[in-house]
This record gives sequence, C-alpha cells and structure tokens, in this order.
Amino acid sequence: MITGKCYSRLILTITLTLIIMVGFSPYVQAEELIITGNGSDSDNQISISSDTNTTVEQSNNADIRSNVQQAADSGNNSASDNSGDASIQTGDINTTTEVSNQANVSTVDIACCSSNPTEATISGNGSDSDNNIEINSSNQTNVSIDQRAEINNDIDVNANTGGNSANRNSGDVSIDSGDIEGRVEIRSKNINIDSVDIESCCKEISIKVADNGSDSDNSIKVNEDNDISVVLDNRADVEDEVDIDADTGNNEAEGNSGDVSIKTGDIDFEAIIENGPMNIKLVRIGPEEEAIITPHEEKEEKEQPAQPPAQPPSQPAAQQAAVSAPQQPAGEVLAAAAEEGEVLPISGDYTILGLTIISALMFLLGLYLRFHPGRDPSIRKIKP
Amino acid sequence: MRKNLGNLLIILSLLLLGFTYYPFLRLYLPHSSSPAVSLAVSNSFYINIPKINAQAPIILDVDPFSQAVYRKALEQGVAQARGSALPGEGRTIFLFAHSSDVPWRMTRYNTAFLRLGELQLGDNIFLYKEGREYKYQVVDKKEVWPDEVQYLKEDQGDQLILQTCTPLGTALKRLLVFAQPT
Repeated sequence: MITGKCYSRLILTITLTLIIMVGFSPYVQAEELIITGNGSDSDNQISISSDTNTTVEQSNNADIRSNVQQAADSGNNSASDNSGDASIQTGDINTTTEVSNQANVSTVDIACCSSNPTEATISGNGSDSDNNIEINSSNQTNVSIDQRAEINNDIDVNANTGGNSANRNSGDVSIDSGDIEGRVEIRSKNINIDSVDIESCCKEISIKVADNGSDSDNSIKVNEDNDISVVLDNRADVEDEVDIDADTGNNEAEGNSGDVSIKTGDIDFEAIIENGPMNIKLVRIGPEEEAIITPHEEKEEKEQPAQPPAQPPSQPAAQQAAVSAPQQPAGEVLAAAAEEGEVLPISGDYTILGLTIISALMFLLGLYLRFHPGRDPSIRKIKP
Repeated sequence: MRKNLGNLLIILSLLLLGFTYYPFLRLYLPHSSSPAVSLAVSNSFYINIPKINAQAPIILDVDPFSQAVYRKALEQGVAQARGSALPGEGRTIFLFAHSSDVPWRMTRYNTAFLRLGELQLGDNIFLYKEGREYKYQVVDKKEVWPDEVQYLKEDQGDQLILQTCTPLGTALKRLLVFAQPT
C-alpha cells in the first residue's frame, strides 16, 4: 500500500528523473546529434536508423500501324474515230505523302530527400564516461523501365498520266502525257526514349569529439548503405513499306491517217525513310550541379548517400500517327546517343606482336654478334 | 665475349618466343577432358565450335561500346552484345571474344575465338541455352574495319555473328563470321 509520504517521494523521484533525462541526456534534433555535459561514469548513447526503399517501374507498349493509299489519275483519255485532228494533253501530277511517328518517352525524376544528420558532437562529458553515437542509413532505389514499340508503315502511291488512246482518226494525232513528281517521307523518331535523373545527396557530416574528461570512451559511427539500380529495356520493331506506281506511258495511236506524235511525261519521285533516334537511354545520377550522362549503360549500382522519395513519373503515351503532325518531343534529353567514335569491340592485343618483334630483334642481334668478325673490347692496364 | 653475348641473345630470344607462343600451341592441343560437359554443368548458356575446338561460357548483355565493361566480361568467356538477340528470338545474335591476349593470361575461355579464322562455309556452331541446343552453319566470313559498326547495330534477321580481332595478335581489323540457323 502506498502511503501519502511514499506517494510524494515517488512523484519527486519521477520528476527528478525526468529533469535529469531531459537536462543531461543526449538530445536529438533533426540535423544535430549532441552528447554533452554528462557527468563522470555516465553511459550515453544515440542511435538512429533509417531504411528507405524507392521503386519506380514503368512499362510502355506502342503498336502503330499506318496505311496510306494515294491515287491520282489524269490519263486514260480517249480521242478516237474523229474525222479531223485529235490531240490529248494530260495534266501533271504532284503528290506528297508524309508519315511521322513518335512513341514511348519515359521520364523518371527522383529528387534528394535526406533526413540524415549533418552534425554529430560528443563534448564536455565527464571522466570515465562512455559516449556513443551511431547513425545507420540504408537506401535502396530501383528504377525499371520496359518499353516496346512496334511500328508498321505501309504507303501505296499510284499516279498515272498515261494510258491515253487516239485511234482511227483521219487527221494528225498528238498525245502529250503530263509529268509526275512525288515525294514519300516516313520518319520514325524518338521511339523508346528513357530519361532517368536521380539526384544523390552527398551531405557532409561534421563530426567532433572534444573536451571530454580523462579515460572517457567516445565513438561516433556512421554506416551508410546506398544502392541505386537502373534497368532499362527497350525494343523497337519498325517495318516500312513503300510501293510507288507511276505511269506516263501506255499511250496508243493506231489506224490514223495523218501524222502521229506521242510525248510521254517525266517521272521524278523521291522516297525518304528515316528511323531514329530510337532506343535512347539517358541516365544521370549525382548532385544537381554535376551532369553524368551514360547513354549506353542500362544498370548502375553506386554507393551514394541518397534518400530520395520518388516523384510521380510523367506518363508516356503510345501515339498513333498516320499522316499527322509530330507529337510533343521530350525536349533536350532526346539527343541521340553518341555514335561518333563507336567501334566494334577490341578483342585482340598487340602484346603478342610486340614480344615477337623483340624476340626477332634479339635473335638478329645475337646472330650478328655471334658471326660477325669484330674485336672484343680490350682491357687496358692502369698504371699505378 | 662477343660470341658468348651473341649466343646468350639467341637463346633468350628463342625462350621469349617459346614463352609467347606456348599458350597458342596449348590451345591447339585436344582437350584432356570434355569441357563441353563441364560447361553444361556450370553454365546455362555456352558456345561450342567443334571444328576449332572452341568451348566457352557466354556472358549475357555486355555493352560492346564500353571497353571497361567488356574487357572484364571477356576475361571469363564470350560476350553477348547488349541489344542483340538470344537464340530462338529470330533476330541477330552478336557474340564477340578475344583471339589473343597477353601470354601469361591466355586460357581456353578468354581466347575462345583464337582459331575463328579457320572456319569455312558449312561448318557448324552450337549454342546451348538452358538445356536446349541451337545449331548454326557458317554462311559467310568478312574482315571489316573497326568503325563498321552497322553489323553490330543493325538487325539483319535470324542469324549469328561471331566477332574477333584480326590479324592474330593485333587489334587492327575485325573478323566477322556469319552463320544461319539450321
């Protein structure tokens, strides 16, 4: 049974304990860890652990099919069975077909958000005190982007100014078929573009152990384990088929009584197929002021003091563009991977050649010394 | 004294020559055991070219444009170029390996393509992946300059391309062997 006197003592004890704990215990602020002002033989510990796991997964599939058919015909005219002259002149044809595709642009932007302390101090503690600060931080960042694009462009162009006939006329006959000019352009660019920007937080920690009593045992441990994994997998399958049928001929003039003149037009057609940039991977891992661009690396694991939360990645969209204007590009990150200076992998070594040359030179020199007549170096007597 | 020095140089040159080319000679000798069997036990993906006595594990997904990355992979075997296909996918598979290395480092696996130039049309190449055998037959051979990267970057359908450096002991040009699946 607790009496009134005992109850008072209990309250006093608890209050004093709280005062001691608050007044002299190590305290923790958001960015400073300090153990200070503790008495001799005291035992003081601060331990902080944080474990962060950030995972971003994106998967995009684009299936684009463009089927364009163009037909223009100013020919297939007939002027036959006339009693006088007959003349056919067909118009020129000028045709342009453009197809532009863009698909699968993925952007991941992970900013730094580290709550690790920036200062750890053990100072002014008494003799024989035992003071320890331990900071453990484990951060895992995983980014995985998987993009598949299948693009199929099928363009058919038919242009005809010929196929005219002027038969069995009693006068002169003239057939003049028009020219055909055309251009087909297919451009598939910015297909499967990955842009990953992970800002690492290389925060400095200031550590200070000073002015503690004799025989005090002080330690500050900082353990940081940071893993960043970036896996990018892009596959693009692009098939372009262009079929151009242009005809200014197949004109006919038979059974006419007068002179016959057939002049067929010129054909000037151009087809441009351009694929790329495609399957571009741009990864940047580092502080904001640095730019680390690794267009060819799919996976990186680095030790970085980063504790970033993932920002919502911008959603890519598979756009179907038959004969349409290009979609919005992803900006400066869409620069094509550097192709300058790329060579097939070096899978040989010049060491063998070098050693062979050295062997040959040694052998020849040995032969020379062995068989070429000459004097051995003479030894002069040195007069005392 | 001249004679003695000459004799010494001749002997040293022959020893150096032997030291340099002994690893090559050793690779021409028949295997004492069956490395294909030991490969099958320890690797799920490996290559076997019976004509030139070449067997080696295949390291997957190696960046062919990063020397630091592929040098490390080539120490262990044949590298499959990142971006190229795997057997059964119906696209171009691009594998590359050393034809030579420094003599004191040469092993059977890290110079698997030493004798690649001896392959002729119709010779067989086998890839083994996860217990399944894929057979190819050589249809073409080419020597190209290092900057002709289109063979690596362009997919030309279901085929296998093996690449190494040529002439032997140099990195002057690239030898490409093309094979079709049978």
